[in-house]
Amino acid sequence: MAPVAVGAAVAGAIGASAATAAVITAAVTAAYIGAAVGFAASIITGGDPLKGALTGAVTGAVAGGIGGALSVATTPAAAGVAGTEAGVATAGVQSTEGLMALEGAAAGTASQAGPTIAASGGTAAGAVGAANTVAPTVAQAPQSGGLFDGAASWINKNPEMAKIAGQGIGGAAKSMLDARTSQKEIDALMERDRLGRDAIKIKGLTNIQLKTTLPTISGFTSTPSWRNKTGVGLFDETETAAA
Amino acid sequence: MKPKPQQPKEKSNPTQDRYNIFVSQGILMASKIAPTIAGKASVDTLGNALFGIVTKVEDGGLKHGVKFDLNLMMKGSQEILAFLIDRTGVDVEQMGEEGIKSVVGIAVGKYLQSAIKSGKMTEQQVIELAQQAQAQAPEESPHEDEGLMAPPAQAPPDQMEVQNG
Repeated sequence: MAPVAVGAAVAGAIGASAATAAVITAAVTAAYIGAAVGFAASIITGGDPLKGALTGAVTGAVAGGIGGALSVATTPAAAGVAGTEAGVATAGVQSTEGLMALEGAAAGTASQAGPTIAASGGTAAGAVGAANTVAPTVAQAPQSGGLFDGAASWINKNPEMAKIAGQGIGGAAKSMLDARTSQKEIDALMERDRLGRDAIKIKGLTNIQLKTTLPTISGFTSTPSWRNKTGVGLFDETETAAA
Repeated sequence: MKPKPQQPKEKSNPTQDRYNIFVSQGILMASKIAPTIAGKASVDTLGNALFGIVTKVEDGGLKHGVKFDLNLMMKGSQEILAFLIDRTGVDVEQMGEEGIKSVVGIAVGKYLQSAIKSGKMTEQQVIELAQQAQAQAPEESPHEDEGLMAPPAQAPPDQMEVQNG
């Protein structure tokens, strides 16, 4: 049975609302898949995987024309067209805003745990135009269980199909990158963010290099306290540690 | 003395329990981060924050013997993102659907990049994962209860079970 949403209940228990939940859930499920496909496509084409994930998330792997690449991929005769014209201008998504805030929040230093710019590599790396139909091979044993054990097993048992599938991902990259309009919009968004970061930097709110220990999360193996209690004390680490 | 009537035991659902833990811990972490980025939360900031939260909750779970599978994290992180957006005061209408999807793109991209760097996944596994996801995703109106990231149909049934830590 698929798990049911609990976010609203948890948010309510700590005195917050989660009114956006329905909007988000409806909007982004396909974006997750698109991001994974875009990332994988960039691995094959030699593009910037982060850029690929971003593009894939926005254009969508399912409805954005990338889905067609899969059917192409299952036809061996057509598989050779994969991966061409993968002109990726790598603008890079490298800043660590949010992450630094996360570190700050974990350390309880919320006051100035603002954004820090690590790098926003905005240089275009040019086109990665060469056809690249890399045949997937499983050189390493899978290191995670479950899902990927199954995937590797499938590849080992179906090397020809895996090869074609890999080429299909290259085709996905081609379809995805044909969406020039969306690409421009992404570039505009990133530029806007860069300008925003520069403004923050000028105000002197940057350069907070917090090196803190990560938050410890107790209670994973015991019944979460919120199942028995509500409100104050939710996931209180002292409480759960004592228990 | 009369024996106390036994209360009916709640049926255990490990998947739901893991999901509850993942979302609860994520939301708790998000509630601590939100004030620090409120008012200046951009697509980039939110993407980084979501990636950080998911990674830390996942790592925390592993330290305690709880393994969250990818499908669970995908669904759970949607709830965490919704909470994060709410608490940081982001104007969803202004950000737009593309903006929200970009947040997901950044978070997923960084997650996969980190997984490859740390050896958690190989590049080949990422490619195969994408292939599976694309193959099993519905054409329109994705239904969140579908197994979007389940293994390929050719995988033996015994390997289709999600391992529990």
